[in-house]
Amino acid sequence: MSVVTSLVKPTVRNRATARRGAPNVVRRETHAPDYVVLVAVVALTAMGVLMVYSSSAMQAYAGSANSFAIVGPQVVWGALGLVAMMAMIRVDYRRLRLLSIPLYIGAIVLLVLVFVPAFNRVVGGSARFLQVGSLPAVHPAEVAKLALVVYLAHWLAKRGTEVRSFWKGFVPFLLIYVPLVLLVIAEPDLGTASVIALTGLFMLFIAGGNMAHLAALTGLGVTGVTAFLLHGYQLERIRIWLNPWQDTSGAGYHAIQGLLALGLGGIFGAGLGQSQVAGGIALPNASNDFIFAVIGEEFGLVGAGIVIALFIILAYQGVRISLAAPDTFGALLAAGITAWLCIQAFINIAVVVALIPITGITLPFISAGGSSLSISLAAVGILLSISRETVERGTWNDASADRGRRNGRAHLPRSGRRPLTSG
Amino acid sequence: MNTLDRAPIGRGIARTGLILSVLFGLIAVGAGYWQVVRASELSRAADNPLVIAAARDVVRGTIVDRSGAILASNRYDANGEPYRVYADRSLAPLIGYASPVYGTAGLERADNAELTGLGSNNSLEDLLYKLAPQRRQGADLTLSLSLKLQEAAVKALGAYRGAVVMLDPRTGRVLAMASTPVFDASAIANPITAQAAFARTSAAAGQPFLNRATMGRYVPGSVFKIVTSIAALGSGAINASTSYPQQPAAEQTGLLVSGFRIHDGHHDFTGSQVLDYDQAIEVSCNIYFALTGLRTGGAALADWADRLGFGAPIPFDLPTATSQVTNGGGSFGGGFSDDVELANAAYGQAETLVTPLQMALVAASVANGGVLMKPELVTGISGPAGNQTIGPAALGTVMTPAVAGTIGNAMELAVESDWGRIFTTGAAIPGILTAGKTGTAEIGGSAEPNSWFIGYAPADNPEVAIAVIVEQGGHGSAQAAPIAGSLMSLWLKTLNP
Repeated sequence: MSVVTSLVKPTVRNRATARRGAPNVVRRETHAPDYVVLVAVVALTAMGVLMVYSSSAMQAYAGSANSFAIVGPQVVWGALGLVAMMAMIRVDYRRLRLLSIPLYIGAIVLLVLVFVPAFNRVVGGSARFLQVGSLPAVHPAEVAKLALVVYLAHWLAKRGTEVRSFWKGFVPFLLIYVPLVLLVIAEPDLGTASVIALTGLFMLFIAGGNMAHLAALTGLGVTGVTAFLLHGYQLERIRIWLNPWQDTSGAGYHAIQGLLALGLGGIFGAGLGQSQVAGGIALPNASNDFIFAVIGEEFGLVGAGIVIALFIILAYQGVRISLAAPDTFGALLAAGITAWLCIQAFINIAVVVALIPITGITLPFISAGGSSLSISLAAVGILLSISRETVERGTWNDASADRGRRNGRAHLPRSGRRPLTSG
Repeated sequence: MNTLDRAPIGRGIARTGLILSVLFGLIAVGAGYWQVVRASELSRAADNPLVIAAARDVVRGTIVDRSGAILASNRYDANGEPYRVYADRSLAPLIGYASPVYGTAGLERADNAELTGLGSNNSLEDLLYKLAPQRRQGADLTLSLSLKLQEAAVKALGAYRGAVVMLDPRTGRVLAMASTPVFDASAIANPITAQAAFARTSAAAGQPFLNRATMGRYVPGSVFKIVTSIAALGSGAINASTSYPQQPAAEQTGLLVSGFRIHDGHHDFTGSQVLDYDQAIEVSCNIYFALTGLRTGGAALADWADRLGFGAPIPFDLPTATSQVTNGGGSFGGGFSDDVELANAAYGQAETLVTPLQMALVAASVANGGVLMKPELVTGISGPAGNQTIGPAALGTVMTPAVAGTIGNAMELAVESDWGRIFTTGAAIPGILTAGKTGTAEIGGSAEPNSWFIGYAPADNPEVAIAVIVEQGGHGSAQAAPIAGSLMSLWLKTLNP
């Protein structure tokens, strides 16, 4: 496998390969992908498989007499995701521009299909999955994240500075953004909806959206969320968040179990397989929403810190890739993917450490959840594909990688090339 | 679109990166807060299934009394799993149980973190433990308790429900803390018998799980007069020679306070005599203390009671109920609703509620010359982290030695004088000067009153302070005083001569 070859020999940076059979007249000139991101994400995924097994084995055994019942599919989905990631690395990410509208429409259709009783499958009472026949259930909201990021990157890049205008920028943005967010809220899946909403906002912000529009949208979102939270059951959620100990066996139960797991882990942790929440008896969502608590209990603050550090590396490298991307679409796509994965990781971990109220959402690459894992990995593939074409840009760029690229060899300009000055 | 009029997006990307790093910084701080700052506290949630589960892998530390007699230790079942056994049923309400099924109670619960070693603050040591092949061993506790005295206290209470608290007034160390009825904690700790034993104990009359010594709140009756004395003498409202000219008449006709008549029914033969402070304690004159309470004022009474530990849980190894002089709802000074309530509270009726531990502390503070020592049950913790000795520690100076001397003198007369012998039969220890005060707390209806005694001995050099409550034991002198006398005698003459 050439991928393996490139992993073994990272010095081969200038792999200016003409893509055989590519319809493009213009040759795509690439260098090695950002191995730091690759290693961080593969490490997170590997840790995820380990932790999902550790936290689900007992529960799975109790449920189906097979301790691999939950981790098995996770491994399969992880492998599929890695294949998708490797494929995406080799695909010219610009081709996604062609796919952006079908992808977006497809996501909308999938989200609507969830409301068709024949296809939907309720999991955990809230997040709805789509199941057709005997195919594995998928979570359309995961597809929606990718679709929104790709389509927004395409559209915002095309709009250029017009995004600042109200009628030509903000209103069309809302027409793309709002239906998707509302459909996910309607699922109902508040956690994913907030990830999608925040990612979209970040992308508009990065693309140079009018701050007044952004402020208005943020204000509207905050008002909406507040109004929503102030009724009944949701208000209870807030009260529990402020003091989980007021109802230790009821509403505060999850939060407390998560915090206790962290506390029992301490600095160095209880050791792999030693988690008490992991049995799934004390903490039902140990292998997905609360997997960070299991990591915190088994590997302590050290393990939790490593997970957070890996996400910080992803954020840092993602921002660097975005800054050095060869075109606006690539920059927005890289920033959007980075923001999405990092916001999702933040919300998941923040719930466990009681910074924000409980929201059911997976920890990217780590939590059990096939569609989440494979789509996140595919998104990283896109990010890595962009990283293969980064150009030198001030001090931000990875100098060595770029020096390799600009070693005097001629290369053809592209229509998509980042114009440093307009015209 | 050929002409891309592109916005300068670099700044937005960099700012996004900045926001993301702040967010990750926040969660890193959050994780650190729960895993380091609050870790030890979280591991102390003894009733949590997680903590119970984590504690299963641990061999609990043993608990021994002051002379090294084992109070709680471990046995191993056929699978090599440890379970708890206790030396005597008299310990049950105090030490509680540690059951694999029902969690923990009593001291087993309060000191679960030490006994299991889960509350350790030493992460490096924790790490070494995880690498060691054998089961983790919790720390051993040494109590100030005397098992023999504890057994004797439960035996003395007999079939009555009640409590005995004995402590060393000089150190605050608890010598005995009995609560009846008792139960079989070993049966609850044994996995085989746990279910039946727990069900039986839960259904048993008299709430055996309740540690009456710390959690029982009782109307104090006349033993509260010592609290009123501390407030009145301490604040200077009265002195030892204070007397009230209207007192003899009021004993015949009742004392009129704001239209309400306070009666003092039980000493006709002092009705013709104006009593001073000592005599009022000796004969336990309600009228005298009602007048004293009114003269001291509600605010001062409540304030001085708070110095003794009223109004807040007492800092102790076990959870304690809060003692009160009043419900605190009234607008009158100190939270009393009016003069009548204050006058009644001054001799221990009205809305006054106390725990036996609180009353033992009242006696101990008088015995110790006004200095209130923090009550302590656990005096030593010896674990892998080394040996730790706890206390003694003072909670504060409640009153001057002179005030303590005045009250102590009156309490001595109450036991040793001719009058005292009539009212406090049985508390005196032959050959040892004893000080004390009985109480007979009316609990309403036709039920027998609760019988109280608080005191200390030897009166000239106190080594033990005591509070005894016998529920529905009749007059203080009928039940509580003889129990106190025999237990103090046992301690001073036999167990700790």
